[in-house]
Amino acid sequence: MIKDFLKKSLILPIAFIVMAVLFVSCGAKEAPAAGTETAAPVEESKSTLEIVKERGKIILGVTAGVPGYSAPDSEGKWQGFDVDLGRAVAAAVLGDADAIEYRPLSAKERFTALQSGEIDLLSRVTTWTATRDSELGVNFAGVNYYDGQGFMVAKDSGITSLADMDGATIAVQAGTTTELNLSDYFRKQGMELELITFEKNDQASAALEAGRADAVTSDQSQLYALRTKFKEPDNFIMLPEVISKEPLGPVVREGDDQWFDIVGWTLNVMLNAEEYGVTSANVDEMKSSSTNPNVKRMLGVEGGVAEGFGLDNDWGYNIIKQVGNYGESFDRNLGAGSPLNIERGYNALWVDGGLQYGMPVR
Amino acid sequence: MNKTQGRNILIQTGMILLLLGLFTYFGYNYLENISKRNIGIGFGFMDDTAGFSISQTLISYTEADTFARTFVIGLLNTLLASFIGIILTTALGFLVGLMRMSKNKLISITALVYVETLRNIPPLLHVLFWYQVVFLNVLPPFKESFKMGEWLYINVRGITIPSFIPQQNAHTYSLLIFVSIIAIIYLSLVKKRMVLRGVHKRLWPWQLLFLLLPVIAAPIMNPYDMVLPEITKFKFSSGMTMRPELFSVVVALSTYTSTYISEIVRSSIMSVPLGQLEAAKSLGFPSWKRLQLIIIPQALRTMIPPVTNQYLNLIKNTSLGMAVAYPDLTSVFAGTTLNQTGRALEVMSMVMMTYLIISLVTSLIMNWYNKAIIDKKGDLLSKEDIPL
Repeated sequence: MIKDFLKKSLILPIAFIVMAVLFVSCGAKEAPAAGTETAAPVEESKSTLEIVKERGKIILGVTAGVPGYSAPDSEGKWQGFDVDLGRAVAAAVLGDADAIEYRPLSAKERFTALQSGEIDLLSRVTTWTATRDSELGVNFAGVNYYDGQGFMVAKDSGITSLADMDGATIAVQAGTTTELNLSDYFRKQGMELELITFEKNDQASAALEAGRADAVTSDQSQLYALRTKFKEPDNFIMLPEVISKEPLGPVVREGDDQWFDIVGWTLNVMLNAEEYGVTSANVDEMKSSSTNPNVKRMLGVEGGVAEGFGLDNDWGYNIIKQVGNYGESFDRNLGAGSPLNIERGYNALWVDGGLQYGMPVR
Repeated sequence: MNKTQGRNILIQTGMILLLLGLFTYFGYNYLENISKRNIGIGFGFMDDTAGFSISQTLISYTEADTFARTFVIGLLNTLLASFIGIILTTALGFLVGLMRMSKNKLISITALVYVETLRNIPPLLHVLFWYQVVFLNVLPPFKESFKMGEWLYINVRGITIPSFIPQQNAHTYSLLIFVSIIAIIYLSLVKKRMVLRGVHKRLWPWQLLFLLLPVIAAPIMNPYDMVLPEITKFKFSSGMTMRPELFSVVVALSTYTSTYISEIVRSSIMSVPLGQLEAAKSLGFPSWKRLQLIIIPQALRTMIPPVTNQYLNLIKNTSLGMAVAYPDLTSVFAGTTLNQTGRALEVMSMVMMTYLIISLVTSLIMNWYNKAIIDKKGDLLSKEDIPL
């Protein structure tokens, strides 16, 4: 009896002391070490560039699978237009486009992942809006794709325009600007709407395929991608209306101007390369023989642009050699060379009447 | 105060200080980080316009309402699914539990298979099964509904039945039903008292009268107008529809949870001493009376605490509705609202607190009920009556 009592009364304090000692020692030794690895951006002393260089790779936030933008191929290698931009940044910063760790993120997770420092760069069909810029502690480094919100319906539904949709049930992905645009549009037109909100775009399009919803809405680019997954893609059509501007682009954490510049200028290099006719195939030749001063600066033959960004002189060369110019990436992933077969449209270069405009590299 | 007490106080103070330290550390860390990243803090966002629509709302809601309202909408949907789920799971659980006790092998084995199959599948799969397999793939499309007369339509968009629109007499009629219910309950209490005092007088004809009164009154007073479902281009313009999202959540969770309840029912009944059954038999009670009067009242005492746990599980599991677009608290508030505002800490702490409060209130009610049942024995036998 007394023995039991002693045992019981001693076990607790001993356990407590052991725990306390463990906790204190962990706190003292490991917390700062862990801090540099995971929550690194919190420390003022280290920039994202330094962290990335030290780590030897970029942690890239992508979608969990939108064909053409970012999706793993049959060998499990990530492919797509948004992946290419991440690869270009890796090529610029580390000289190796493959030095990337991928983090597939849902629409809901993406900003938290970026804010908390879990990823270095978010390249994932994300719309640039005022609220996100002002309140979320993130910065948009540019626009790599001009998109707009569209609608997909079943061909035999008899719906040919948005005006036919009063009272319709529409499926949408949770936590997107799409959801807000849609509600705004129906409210403005005085039309009734039943909205079902799914976690993922695939589920929303599955609801259309099964007839649970009359339409699915999202950025048009994504609708094209989702349609390729249908059993009978030809039974579904896109409505002609586009109800919003959706400038999609890469996003970085606020407060690191150097990293912001690097990401933005990586996109500019890809755009300029297309404009000047530099491709992954002819970049070596252009580097040695081009007389265009713009090309020379971009490929690091002339001038010291790279130093200002804290990068090596061959950053532009690496981007184009390893990833290609904007047009190459577009064709390969979204355009004529892909199953999506999306027109360049607004995403043509400014010289061809589109909106894509690479800032001068000088 | 002896030595152990002193030690215990020391330990507990230490633990509390440690926890406080931890909270302060994390809180400070959080505040420092968000100020560095220009993220605001506070609940001011609750008054902003939500701007998105929600498919199922129990109270009126438009896109122009605030985020505070989306919280209420989500909460009500969670409560609705929990409420229907708890009623269904209790009924099913009792039924299956009793079936397992049956001497008829066919019945008991059916119940056994039901329990063993359903409880070994994760609840999320149950929900997805009902939605993706049953609704989206098995049921007919909207325009080719499965029909029973003009009364019932079943299709991929849900189950639609006629709706009842209150007429002038509706209030009076509700009052009549209310009075009848009270009268029936009162009469049964009177009857009980009389039995205890050894008086025997027939009261059931009166009870039957009060039961029949609303039925007789219905066609005369015509308090509700029945409106048959009518199909328009995109939906039923009239009638009531149970959406597939709610149906999937409720059916999936109640079948899943009922397996646990049935096991609790079975083991509680088995925990009643065999002598009770034998005594009842020897007194000549018919079998269902034995169950109703002797076995179940005693089994209830052991049953209620574990059943409460299962209710809490069911309530928390309604958050799985998110997987099938059911607009519950998790989906609407911790999902869409969180994403539109970016206020992770505020929204998540609100949602966690809400689930905590729902759970605590449920336990409170169940504990109160448990106590009420245990106290019943006081009616017949008080402590003073025990010769000790």
